[in-house]
Amino acid sequence: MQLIKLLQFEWRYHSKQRSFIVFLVLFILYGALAITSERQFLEISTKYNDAFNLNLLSGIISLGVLFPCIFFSINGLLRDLSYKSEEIVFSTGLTKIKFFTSRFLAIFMFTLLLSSLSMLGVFIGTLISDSNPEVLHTFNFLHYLWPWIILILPNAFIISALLFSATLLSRNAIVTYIIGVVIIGFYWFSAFTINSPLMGGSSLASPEIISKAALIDIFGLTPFFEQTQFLTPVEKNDYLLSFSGHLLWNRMLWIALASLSLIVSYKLFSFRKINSKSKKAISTKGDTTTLRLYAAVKTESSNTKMKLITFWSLVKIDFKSTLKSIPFLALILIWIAALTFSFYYSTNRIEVYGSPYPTTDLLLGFILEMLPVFGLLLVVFYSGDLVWKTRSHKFNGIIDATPVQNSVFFGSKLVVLTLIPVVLILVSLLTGIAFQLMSGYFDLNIPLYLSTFYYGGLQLMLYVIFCLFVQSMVSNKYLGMVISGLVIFLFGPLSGSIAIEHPLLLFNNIPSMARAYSDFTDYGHYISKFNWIGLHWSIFSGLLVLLSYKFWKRGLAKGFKVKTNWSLKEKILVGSLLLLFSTSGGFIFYNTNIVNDYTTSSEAYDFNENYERKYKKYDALTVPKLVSVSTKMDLFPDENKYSVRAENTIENYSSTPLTEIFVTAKTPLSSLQIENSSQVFHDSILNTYLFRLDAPLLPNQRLKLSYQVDKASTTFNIDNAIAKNGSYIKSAHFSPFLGYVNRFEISDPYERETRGLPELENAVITDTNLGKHAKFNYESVLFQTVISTNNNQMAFSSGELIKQWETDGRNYYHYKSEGKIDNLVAYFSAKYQVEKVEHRGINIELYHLPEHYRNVSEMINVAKATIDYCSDNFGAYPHKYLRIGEVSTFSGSNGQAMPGVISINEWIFKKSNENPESFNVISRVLVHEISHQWWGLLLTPKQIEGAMFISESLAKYTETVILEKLYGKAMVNRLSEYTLRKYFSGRSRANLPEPALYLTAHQQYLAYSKGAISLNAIRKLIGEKELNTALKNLVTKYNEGATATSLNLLEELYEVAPLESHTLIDDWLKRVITYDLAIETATYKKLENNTYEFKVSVSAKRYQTNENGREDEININELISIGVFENHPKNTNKSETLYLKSQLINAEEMAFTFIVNEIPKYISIDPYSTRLDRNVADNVKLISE
Amino acid sequence: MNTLKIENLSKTYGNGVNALNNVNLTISNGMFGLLGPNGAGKSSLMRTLATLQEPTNGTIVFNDIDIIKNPQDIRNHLGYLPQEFGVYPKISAYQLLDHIAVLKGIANKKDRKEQVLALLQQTNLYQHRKKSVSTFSGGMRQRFGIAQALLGNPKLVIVDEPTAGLDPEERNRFHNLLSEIGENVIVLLSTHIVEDVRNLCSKMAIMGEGQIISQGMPSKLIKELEGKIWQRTILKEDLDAFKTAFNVLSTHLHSGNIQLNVISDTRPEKGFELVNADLEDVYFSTLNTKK
Repeated sequence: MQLIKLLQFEWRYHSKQRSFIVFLVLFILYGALAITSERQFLEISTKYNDAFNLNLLSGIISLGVLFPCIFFSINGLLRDLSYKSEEIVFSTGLTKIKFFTSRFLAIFMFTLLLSSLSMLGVFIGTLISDSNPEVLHTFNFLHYLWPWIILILPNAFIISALLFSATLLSRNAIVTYIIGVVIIGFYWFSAFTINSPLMGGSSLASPEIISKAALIDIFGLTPFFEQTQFLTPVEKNDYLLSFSGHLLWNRMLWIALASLSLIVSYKLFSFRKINSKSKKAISTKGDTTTLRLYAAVKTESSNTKMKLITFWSLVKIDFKSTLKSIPFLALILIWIAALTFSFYYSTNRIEVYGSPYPTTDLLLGFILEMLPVFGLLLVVFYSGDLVWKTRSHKFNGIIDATPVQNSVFFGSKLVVLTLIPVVLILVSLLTGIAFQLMSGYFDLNIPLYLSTFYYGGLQLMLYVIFCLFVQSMVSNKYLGMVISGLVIFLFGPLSGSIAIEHPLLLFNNIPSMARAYSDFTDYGHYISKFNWIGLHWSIFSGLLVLLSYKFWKRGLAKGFKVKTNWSLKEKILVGSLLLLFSTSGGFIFYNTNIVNDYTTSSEAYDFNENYERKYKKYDALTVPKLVSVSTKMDLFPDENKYSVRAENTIENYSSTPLTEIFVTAKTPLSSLQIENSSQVFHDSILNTYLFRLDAPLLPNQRLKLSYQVDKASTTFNIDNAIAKNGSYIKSAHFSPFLGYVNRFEISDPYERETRGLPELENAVITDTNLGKHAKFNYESVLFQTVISTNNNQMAFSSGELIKQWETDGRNYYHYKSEGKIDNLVAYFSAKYQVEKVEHRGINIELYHLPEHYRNVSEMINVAKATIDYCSDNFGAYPHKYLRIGEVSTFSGSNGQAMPGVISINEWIFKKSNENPESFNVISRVLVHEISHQWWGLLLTPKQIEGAMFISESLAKYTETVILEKLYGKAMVNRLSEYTLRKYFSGRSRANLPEPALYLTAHQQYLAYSKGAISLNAIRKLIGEKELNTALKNLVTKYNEGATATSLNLLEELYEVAPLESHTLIDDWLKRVITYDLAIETATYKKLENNTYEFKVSVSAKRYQTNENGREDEININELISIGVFENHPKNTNKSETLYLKSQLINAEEMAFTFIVNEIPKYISIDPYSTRLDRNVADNVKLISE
Repeated sequence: MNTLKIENLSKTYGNGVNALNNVNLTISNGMFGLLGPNGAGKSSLMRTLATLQEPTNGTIVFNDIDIIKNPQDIRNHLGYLPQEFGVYPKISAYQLLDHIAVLKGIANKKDRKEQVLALLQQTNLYQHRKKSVSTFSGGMRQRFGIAQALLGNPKLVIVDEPTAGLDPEERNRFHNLLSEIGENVIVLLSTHIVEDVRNLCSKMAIMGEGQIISQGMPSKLIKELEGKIWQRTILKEDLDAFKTAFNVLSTHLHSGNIQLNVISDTRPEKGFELVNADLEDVYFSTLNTKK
């Protein structure tokens, strides 16, 4: 009875807090917005309010209520302390158990209430959403209830129990805060290691890593991702989490720990709260001294020297007490631990991404990424703490009566608060340096480290000012913390969900420099934008400083009171700051909105819509074919611009005369001329042209076409292709299309409908499609170019080097192709160092930055090995040169291939092979890109469905065989297992039904992942030699022009493969088949002749995915290998294999008996991952006697 | 000679409480006692003088300078001991005094040290100077409070209920220190303990409900009551009857019975005896007349 009364009181207390109302509104609003703004997290499911997404949102929301829960704990438990009612409350007849229960239940219930109401917001969101009704799932209460039971309810209990216990025992707000930070730390730690989708990961880490991380994640999101990572989009719609496995353990573990914390805190907590800390006796005995008499001492007032002395004393006393406080030290230790962990983890990965050297920019990337979050937590807390320090210690009566000017008080707080991020950055840098030295890496980049005070510090500094401003306006420090935290989060990470995008509207949204660094240019392009936006918000913060100074609370003033006595000086200052603020704002606005077309995300489709409406009528026009390309490329790296003039020859390849040419330029052209024609129009907004030929161009007749492009990278329109150092301009960057580009059309059916566009025909792709002509191909052309660049840079492209000279302080290079090459070239220019070797008559040239010397010899060796294998097996290398050019990190991908040239990202040059455990990603990428000289370039596929199957799957296949030759089976096994995961997570997030492999359109999970597995399976099925023969035949037949299709590849395969294997080849390439293989039991016994007989039972299932995305079980009847190993097959090279043989599997359950000479340890079905099996963990079993 | 002139001072708080109501006072060097019951507005007046809050109306002039307009000016000459105060934890008495000395404007390090040590000795805190003030007992903390108020060169020392919580010995020491200082500066002492004022102050004022009800030299005020204070010991049960019948100033318990003082120009009744008036009678009679 009393308990209910107590709870009623708690309810009234909490629900009356202004901040509770704020939280309530925000969480309901967040729920509604999260579900209506589909594009935020929810694109990895087909229906955005399906079981999967409701689960995900439940997880995210229960993560979000951590912050209100911290607030409830502090407010609910420390109120007796701060209002000094403690002794009264504790000395009433209230029993400990009732006090404890009522206070805890209140915190728990409010936390639960917030997260539940937020899910109610989600539900409301689905009702009011104006999104595509096709992606709305039918309402199913269970889809809300089940994640509520599994995630929201236990999470609310766990976090309230942990925070409650911490607050109860410490009776100190910062300890609650620290526990909050630790809880986030645990979540972050597991999200980071599993490569969580919420952190932008595309597929989860290996099962070994997940199994550890799944337990650590307090919120249970990791086991949720684990369970759902390979679900097909259809399965996700109605998937209810299975309360088993890691999820079960995770929930049990944390509920147990949370309950334990409650029990412990209950035992330790006592109403007798009197300080029991043992005081250190300070001996001052024998401390005799002469008797001094008090006398007044002359004081000085308000001269500059005195101001400085006072200021220093104030800074010292606050800064020292902060630095020396245990909570602060604990936070710093947590920070060091988090940094060290991420440094260590990222540089010691053994997965297929390889591990990078601990370079300064890598470590700084982590620091700059985490600093805004962690630094902000510190700033928000300490701004409240320090601003209210004299008040909360009731020391203000004394301090405020001293003759110190407000400006000195205010300035000292500002400086101390600024010093907190400074300390944090300093600690980060020292941690980074120590980590590098301890890893034996000595190429420290000290200037880059020091720049972090600016690039990482500025934003925090402005947040300091903002928090200071908020704290000087509010009447309570916790309210101030909540308000500043909310505002910062709303305008920062959450700005997407409140639909504010423009940088001028987002306070302190200074671009992050976390991944804006390249060894070519340092922060290069991004510095100017950072400076401008930084300056803009710094001026704004200047105003905030002035306002907070004016509102600085002295004495007993409560809340804020407008001080009207602005001096002339202050008025001038405000005026000039406002003027500066609008000037910088105007400059940024002018540059983002007027000079460069600013588009909000809702306007992003406008171009596509207008393009289709106006120019669809030219869809049927014949696209002339390029036959020769001659360019003059002038690079001006220092000015971040380039100018290219192209003189091309085009041909009418069709059988009908050509009268009109429609041109679509992605990059605006400075000029465009077509021989014997007149320009009908030029649309300068959509960048299109129409030319009418003076006389029709007859079949096989040719015309000259020339154009010029002048392009620059500017502060607010950064083009990373051109840079001070490391320019990498692909022809696709500037070449116009000679026709209507169908892929510019909006493909999303709902978006089309809302814009009133006709429905797109959903063509069913069949073999006959592949026979049709492709509109845009990579044509074979005669190519030549003259590249010029600064004389301190080297430049190159495809073709033989004809001539090289220097004029007017510029380097010139003339390259010309011998015969025709694919019109897919790139222009490189940088301060390179070149390594040149000759191999089989081919000049291998490796262009790299001088400081990236570590992997040069490895790369040369891999290049040689790849040329050897491919030349021997697929046909002669088509050029006399192979140029490998290092490009900056902004090029995006690991590497790309152009005729005779490949680009390799600098991040590959910075990987380390020093740890024998780590995966040799350098070789993998190099082999892949070099093999494109055959797959894609020598054999150019027609740009139609299946093209990527030829270019990418064959490159992946080549990667597998060469890596196996160079490094053994174990490394390839690791690669295959990763590739399998990529396939299943790729199809799990696909928004279109999965086509057969040979009809791959742009699905990377098919071309790269399924292709690699399936071709490797065919290799095992028919033999490597036979497969290579088929491939060689394909190359021989189709190396002229872009004609090869996946059907041709199939023909060649059928040619060499025995007839009985054709069905399986069809299953893998022409159907969508997945497997579920498992070892059920495995036992052995010793025989008399010292051999061992062992028995194994396996289960094997096969599924076919139909056009609707549903999987149906089908019969199985094929040879699958079963092997016995001494070690886990992942770590097994051939020598340790005890037994390996293909067995005919033709039933769901089968048993086998083998005899081997040694004690068998591991048995595995399909040990080399040739089948698409969702769960490979059950394919291996440790054998028991 | 320092002078503090308070004219027509009023303070109304946001919640409508009229804490000060047209207060007028002129004070010069020496100890000035401000006597009044709890809630009379003493602390409000002191906080206003200490520039911690602005009055709603009225002026305060210290040595010809309007301190409401120029609060900075009086802060240079102010020593203030608030009624209730705390300190930062984990900072020793010496360090904290040194810090406040800086804030008060003592630029010279040596001067600071000398004065801080002198004050520590005089407040008998010298042997505790390395201890954290937050661990001090109530009395020690109060002595620390007076020490900090005297730092620098105060010309106006405001002490709000300084002796609350002090034992008799500490109170004595405290009084001595204050009266020494009071020779050259203004010391404004607020209290509800009549004895403090009697012992220390050459001038005094009595406050009630935000107003100054009476002011002057204690001896003069006492003199005015000479021959008017009558005393009698009665039984507890009779108290109500006496209260209605006579102008009762104060009652004291005396061995289980009640001793009561009545003000009257003539003997009120048989059993009453004339006694010498003291300050307490002044205090109560002033408050009574007000009602």
